[in-house]
Amino acid sequence: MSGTLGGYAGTVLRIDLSKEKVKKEELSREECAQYIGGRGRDAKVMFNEVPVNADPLGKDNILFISTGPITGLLGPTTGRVNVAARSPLTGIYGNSNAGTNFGPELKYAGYDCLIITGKADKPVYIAIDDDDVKIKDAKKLWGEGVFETTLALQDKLNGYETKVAACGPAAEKGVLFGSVIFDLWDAAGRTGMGTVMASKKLKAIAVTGRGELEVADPKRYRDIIEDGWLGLVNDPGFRMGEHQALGTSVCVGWGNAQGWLPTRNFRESVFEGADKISGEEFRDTISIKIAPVPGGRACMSCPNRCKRFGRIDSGKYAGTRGNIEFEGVAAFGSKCGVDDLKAVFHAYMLANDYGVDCVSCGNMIATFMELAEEGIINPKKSDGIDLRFGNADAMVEMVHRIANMEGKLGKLGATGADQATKKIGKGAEDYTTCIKGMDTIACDPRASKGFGFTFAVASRGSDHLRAHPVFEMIKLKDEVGQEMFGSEESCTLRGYGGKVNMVFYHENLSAVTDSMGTCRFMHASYYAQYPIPEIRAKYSRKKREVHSIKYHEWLSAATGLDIDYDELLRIGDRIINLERAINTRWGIRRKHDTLPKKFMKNPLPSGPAKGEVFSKKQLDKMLDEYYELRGWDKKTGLIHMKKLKDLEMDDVYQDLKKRNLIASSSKKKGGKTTKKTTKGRKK
Amino acid sequence: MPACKICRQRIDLSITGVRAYKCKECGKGVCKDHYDFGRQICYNCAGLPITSGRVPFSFIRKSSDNS
Repeated sequence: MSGTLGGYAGTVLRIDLSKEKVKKEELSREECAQYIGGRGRDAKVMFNEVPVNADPLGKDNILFISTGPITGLLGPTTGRVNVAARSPLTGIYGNSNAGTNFGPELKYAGYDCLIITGKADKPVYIAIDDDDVKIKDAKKLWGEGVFETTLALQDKLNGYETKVAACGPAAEKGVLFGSVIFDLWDAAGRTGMGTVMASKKLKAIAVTGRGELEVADPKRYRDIIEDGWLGLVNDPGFRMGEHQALGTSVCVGWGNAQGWLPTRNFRESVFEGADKISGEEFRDTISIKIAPVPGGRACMSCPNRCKRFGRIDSGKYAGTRGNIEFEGVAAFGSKCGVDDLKAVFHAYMLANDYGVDCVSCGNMIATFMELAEEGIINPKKSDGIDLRFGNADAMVEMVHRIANMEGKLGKLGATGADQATKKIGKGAEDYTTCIKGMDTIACDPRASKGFGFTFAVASRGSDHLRAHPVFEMIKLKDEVGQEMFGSEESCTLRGYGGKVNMVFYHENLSAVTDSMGTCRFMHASYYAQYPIPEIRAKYSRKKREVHSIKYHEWLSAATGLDIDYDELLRIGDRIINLERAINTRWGIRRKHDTLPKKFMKNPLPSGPAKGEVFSKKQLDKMLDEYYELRGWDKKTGLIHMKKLKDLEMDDVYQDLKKRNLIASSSKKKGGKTTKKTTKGRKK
Repeated sequence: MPACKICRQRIDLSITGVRAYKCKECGKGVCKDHYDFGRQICYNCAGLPITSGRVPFSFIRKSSDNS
């Protein structure tokens, strides 16, 4: 029962597309207390209900679209929505999180979560208008781009009051990294969730909600939120205002200066054309200018406005318009060696309209470019296209071909860089940057060790957002790093010291905030969350009143659950362990927690990080340390019984035990509280 | 953010100089493209031909050829 919990809408909507049945269920209070909502609760239901042998594109896979208890409430960045399913791209746990107004709208309609099972016989869309939930024919929309689909549904239903989640024609055709796009431009891009949606013949979900949400303790809630807002506006990063002025594209210049901007498929980490694709360039040439903050768009209740809106009025890409983010700029820009921002913007909007993940798509094209330059493939001969770094026209053309699965490279590219290079053979595998089947985002792990380690251990494949440890990039005082993570090196990009603790902390907190429905930027770009402002104040000469975002109090005041700071991080640890348990059933072991050869063997040739690699020896050492914290077996990567018991995950333990997937040692186990090591453990 | 009752385009009031125009006859809010400034009524009430204010911005190639 969730009857007494505040923040939640209180209802889960189960939609069986095979039987065309809609069922409303009450939210489980136990699941909320253990896993909060969003990412955490989705993982729990996935663990319980998705069969281990489920085909990611079959009817047994389940698609979750969920919110957290904070989604749609007042407070900084409460516009997040989570999408989860078994990934067709990686074959393991798949999930993606988007900032959009869809999540709040879903809650105003009265639902915390959509659980979509089965497979429709013909294309359909789901129309939710408060209590009224209908499965409708989408024959006319099938094959249409995301933009047309979204606008057509808004026209047909309640205009802009209707929020739409749609998959694109690429996902319909079977491109494995299809994305779910919310409200035209907000993508849940990673791990191919759009492809799962399309495999169910579900073209779109349109929601209109007019309800209200209540929190458990409104007065306390207001006070906590006020403190949180003040914590945020006092954060030095936020006060600098770069993010608000340039959006996430501020990272182009930043990454280039710090030497971690992936260039030419990670051959280098400094791009000579960075200025031409920077946030400043977008602001000056493409961004719509006559707004208070030029071209800024924001998710619900967000002061950050990190989305940049722009339009191209002339030239061969005239008419292109939409919303740009750093990851897309790097994927189609620096990774492909392209310094034509208009081409990059156009390719990015094409990716959104086709409904493909811009990161996977851009990385795939960059990989093809490198393979062509290395002479492993011959695109001119096979596909009649001059694929080489810097060729903007070829890059744009490849987006069309991959999304439509046209030609040899288009078909190969649609399977993602990991599978495509395996099919190509001839050593092509060495040129990918995939981990657990998913491409690396726009940060070179050789130059940024905390991010590198995050990529290696992330539950959905190479991914920065599982932790997003920007901590190492923002030049905090050494004492803050020492106190938070036990090493001053945690405040440096290239050092390894303290990075395991840093990733452990960030992963736990990120799991919690993804489950609550708030944005990563509030605690892993700006550091406004307790206890960091307090620690900073301790080492600051300026004495001023300290404010911070206290997630534990925020969650408690909203829901009525009694959660303290330690319990909050423990919930995060539980969610990470649950995701590990899911992945364990799908074959993930220690050997998969690694980095591509490229990052461990090829030193960076230039820039501030010249000569850097991510040392294999260091990685092994860090993994040992990390596994110790997580309570996982250092040899196999399986979870120890004690850890699951400590986290009160008995049902998970029973399931894994039945499958013989619990770490075998009975003496040495248990996670953070463990004192003994597994050295000398019998095999 | 209001939307034009004729073309359903969002009227972004955060942009300087942009506003919704209220039709004196039917009372509906419309964008500048569907407002007759002379008579201060919307295109519907004025009986003027209505063209969608939406600018096409989809550039995808609809290909059924997977050969």
